[in-house]
Amino acid sequence: MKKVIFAGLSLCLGGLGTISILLHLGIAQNFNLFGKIVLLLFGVVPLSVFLFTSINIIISNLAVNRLIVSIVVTWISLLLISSIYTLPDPVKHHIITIASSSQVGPTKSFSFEIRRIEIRNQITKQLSPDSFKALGNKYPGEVYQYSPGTALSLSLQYSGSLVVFPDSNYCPNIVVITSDGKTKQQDLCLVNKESGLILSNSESGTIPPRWIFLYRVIKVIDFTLLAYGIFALISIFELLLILIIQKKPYHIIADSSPTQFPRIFINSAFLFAFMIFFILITNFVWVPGYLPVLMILFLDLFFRLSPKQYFSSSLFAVFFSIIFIAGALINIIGGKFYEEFDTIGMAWPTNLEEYSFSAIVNRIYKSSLDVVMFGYDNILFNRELLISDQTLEYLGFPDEKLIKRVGIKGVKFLQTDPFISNTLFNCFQSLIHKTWTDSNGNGYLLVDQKYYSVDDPVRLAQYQNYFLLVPDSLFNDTEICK
Amino acid sequence: MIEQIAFLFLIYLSGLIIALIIKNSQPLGFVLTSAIFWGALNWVIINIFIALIIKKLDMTLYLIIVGIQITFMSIWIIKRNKPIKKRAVTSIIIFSLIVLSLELFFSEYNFTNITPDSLYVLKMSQVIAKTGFTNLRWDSMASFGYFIGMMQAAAKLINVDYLYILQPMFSMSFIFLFGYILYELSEDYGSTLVRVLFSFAATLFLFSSTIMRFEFSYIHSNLITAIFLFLLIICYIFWEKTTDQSWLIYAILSGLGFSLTRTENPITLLIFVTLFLGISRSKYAQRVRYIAPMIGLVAFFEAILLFIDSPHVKEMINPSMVFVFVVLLSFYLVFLLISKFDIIEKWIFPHLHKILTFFSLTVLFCAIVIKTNHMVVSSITLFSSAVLQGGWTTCWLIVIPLLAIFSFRKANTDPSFTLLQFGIPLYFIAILIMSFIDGHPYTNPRWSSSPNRMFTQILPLGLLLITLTLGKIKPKNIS
Repeated sequence: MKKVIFAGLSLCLGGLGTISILLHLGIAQNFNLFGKIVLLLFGVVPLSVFLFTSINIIISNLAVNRLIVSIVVTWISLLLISSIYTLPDPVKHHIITIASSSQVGPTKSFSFEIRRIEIRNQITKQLSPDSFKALGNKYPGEVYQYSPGTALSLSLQYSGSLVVFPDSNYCPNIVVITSDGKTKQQDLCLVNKESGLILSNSESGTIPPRWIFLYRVIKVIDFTLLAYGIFALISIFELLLILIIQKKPYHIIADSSPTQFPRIFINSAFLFAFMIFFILITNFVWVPGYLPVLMILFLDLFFRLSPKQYFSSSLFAVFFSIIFIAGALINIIGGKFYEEFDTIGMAWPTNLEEYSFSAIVNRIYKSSLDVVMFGYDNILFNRELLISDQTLEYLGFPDEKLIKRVGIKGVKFLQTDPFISNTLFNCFQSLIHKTWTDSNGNGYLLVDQKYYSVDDPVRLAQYQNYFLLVPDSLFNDTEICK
Repeated sequence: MIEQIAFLFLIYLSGLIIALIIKNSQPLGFVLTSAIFWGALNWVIINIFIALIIKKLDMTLYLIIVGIQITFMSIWIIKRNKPIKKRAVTSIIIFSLIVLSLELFFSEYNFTNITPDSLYVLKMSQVIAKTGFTNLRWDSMASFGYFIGMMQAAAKLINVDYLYILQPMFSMSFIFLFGYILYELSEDYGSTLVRVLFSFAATLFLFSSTIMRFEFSYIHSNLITAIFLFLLIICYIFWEKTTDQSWLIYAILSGLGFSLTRTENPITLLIFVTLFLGISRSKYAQRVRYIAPMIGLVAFFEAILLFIDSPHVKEMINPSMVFVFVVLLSFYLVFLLISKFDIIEKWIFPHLHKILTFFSLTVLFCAIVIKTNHMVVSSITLFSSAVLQGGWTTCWLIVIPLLAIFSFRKANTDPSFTLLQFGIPLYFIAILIMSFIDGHPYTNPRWSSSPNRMFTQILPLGLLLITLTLGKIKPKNIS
C-alpha cells in the first residue's frame, strides 16, 4: 500500500515536474497530439521513476520526523522564493507572409526594404542575424525586390509582437499580410517610421488560457519540482556511474550512516535551487557564474567515487585550493563584466603632482562648481557666493547638500559677469593665490583668504578659460587692484 | 612623502610594542601582521581624548604620550624577564623592513580609490585636526565612525593633503594576517606545503573580486571594519583553543576598534559578544574582567557622539538612534555585572546564543509580516548584490553554497565553529533588519551601496568557517 502511495505521488510529481520543465523551456506551448504522447513517454514516466526512486531512498534512510521537517523547511523556503518569480517567457512558432496586393497592377513592381525587425515583449529586442537565419529566413537589411505574385515569408519563434520597419520605394505600396492565418491589407507608406508595423495580434505568443490555468496551479510547486527534478537526474546519473565503476549496490558504497544520502540530496537540491533562483531573479545566464557550482558538484562526485582510504584533510585542502584559485582567476578575468567600475572606479593616476586633495576633488567633480566649493570651503564658509547665469550655465548648479556642508550663507545669481580686463586679471595673479586645472582644461584661480574683509561676498567670475574666485570688493578696490 | 612613511612606521612600531607587551602564547606572526592595527587604534583613542580636551589635534602632544607609553611598555617588557629570542628579533627586523618597503612602494605609486563619501571623510578629518569635534560641518563620526576620520586627520598634522598609503598598508597587513591565520588554523591539513597552498589560495580568492580590489585602496570604513571583526573572532577562536587569557585582551582591543569604525558596529559587536558568551561558557570573572570593560568603553565612545554639535549629524543620523545604542550598551553592561546570579549564570548564559538567534529570527519574521514588500525588495537587492551586481564576481557564488553545505554538518562541535555558524547568518539578518529600521528598502544592488560593501565584513569570516570545517573533516564523516 505504501509503495502504491509513493508510486502515485511520484507519478503526480513527475507529471507536474515534466510540464513545468517543458513550460520553462517553451516546448509545452506548442504541443499537438503526438507531442503529448512523447511527453507522456519521455517526460512524465522517467521523471516519475526518478522521483519514486529518490523518495524511496529518503524514506528508507531517514527517520520520518526528520523527513517531514526537511521537506517542510525546504518547501516553505522555496515557496517563498517561487511566489516572487516571474512568468516564463514562452515562445510560439509564427508564420508571416507579406505579399503584393491584387490591387497592384502587373506593370508596377512590388518593392520594399525591411530595415529591421523587432520582437516586443517585456523587453524589446532586435532579432539577431543568427536567430533569424536559423529558421530559414533571409536577414533584413537588404532591399527585397518582389514581383507581383511573390511574397516575403517569415518563419519565426517568439513571444509578444513582431514589429517590422519597412521602407517603400513608391507610394502607395499596398501589401497583404498574413499572420498565423489572419489576413489584412496595409499600405506600407502609412507605416509610422518610429513605431513600425506590428504584424501579429496581441494574443500571439502568449500561453493559451488552459496553459495559464495549469501554470497557475503548478506555479507554487513548480520551482521546487524543478530543483528536485534536476537533482533526481543527477542522482540517478551518479548512482549509475557508481554501479558501473564499483559494481556494488549503492548502499554498500554509501557511508554507514543512514542519513548520508538524504543530506546530499537536500544539499544538492538547495544548490540547484540557488542556481535557479539566480537565473530567475536576474534573468541572466552567465557561464562563469555556474562554474563554481559545477566544481562543487564535481567535488561531490569525485569524493564519492574515489576510494576512501585516500581521503584526507590534505586532499580536501588541495581540492578547495584549486577551487579558490580557479574562482580568483574567474574573478580577475570576469571582473570586466562589472562595467560600472570602468567608469566610476577612479583608479588613481600615478602622477606625483596629482597627490593633492584638490586633485581628488577635480577627479570626482570634474569642472562643476562643486569642485570650487570643495577646494575653497575655508573661504566660502559663512559668506555669500555671487555667480552669474552664464557661469552657472557652464559649471552647473551647485549641489544643495554641498552648499550646506560648505556653510555658504547664500548664493546670489547675477545676470552678467563683471568686466575683467587683462590688467585686472594680472593683478589677481599677482596676489597670493592657488590655481587648478581640471580635466576639461579649465583653469581655476583662487585668491587667498587674506584679501577678504569680514562680510565680503565671494565673486565667481569667468575670464577666458579661467574661473576666478575673488573677493567682490577687489573689483572696486583701487588700492589693491588699480 | 617621507612624512607619511615616517608617520605610518611610527604607528606600526607603537602597535608592535603594544602587541609585544600583551603577547603571551600568541605566535609572533600574529603579533607582526596585526601590529599596524593596534598602533592605529592607539592613535585613534589617544587623539579622541586630545580632541576632546584641547579641541584640536597636536602631533607633539601625541608623540609625548606615545613616547611615555612606549618607554613604560619597554620597561615592562624588560622587567617581565621574558627575553625575546634572537630568532624573534630577526623576524621582527625582517618584517619591519618589509613594512617599510611597502610604505615606500605605496608612496611612489598612489592607488587611492575615492568616492564622494571619501571626500566627506577627508574634509571631516581636516576639520578634526584643526578644531577637534567642535565644527563638524562636512560630516561627523556619527555617520562615518571615528576610525578613518581620526587616522586621516594626521595628514593635516604632517602637512600632506591626505594619507594615500594608509589604506594600501592596512590592506597589505590584512592580507598577511589573513594568510597567516588561515595557515595557523589549518594545522589538521597535513604538510606545510598544503597549508601554505590553501592559505595562499583563500587569500588570493578573498582579494580577487572587483569590489575587494577596489576596497584595497578605497578611503572608507568597510575594510578596516572587516579587519577588526576578523581580529575579534580569531582572538575568541584562539582563546578557545589555548585558554590563554591574553587573547581576551586582544579581543577587547579588536572589539573597541571594530566599534569605532562604523556607526552601527556597536550593535553588531553585541551580536558577536552575545554569541561568544553563550557558546564559550565563560566565567563571571572573565566577563567582568574582559567583556565588561570593552562594552563600557564602547558605550563611552558612543555617548560622546551625543554631545557633538554638528548640524549635519542631525540630518544624517537620527540622534535618538545613537541614544538607543548607548542605552542598549549600558543595559548590556549592567547585565554582565549582575550575571553572577544563579538564574542568569545557569539558565540564561548557556543558551544566550540560542536566545539571540530566536530573538533575531522573531524580529526578522515580524519585519517580514509588517512590511512584506519592503523586506522582499531588500532581500532581492542583497541577493543580487552578492551574486551579480555588487562586484563580488564568483566570491559569494562559491562561498554561499559551501556554507550551505557545511551548515548541514553535525560532525563539528567546536565552539569556534558554532560561533561562526551562528554569527554569519545573524550578520546577514542584521543587515536585513537595518533596512527595516531605516524605513527604506535596499534598492541599489551596485557596488556603491552600503549593504553591499558590508559584505566585505562577512566574507573573511565565511572563508574562516570553511577553513575550520575542512580541518575537521575526517574520512568517516565524508558524505
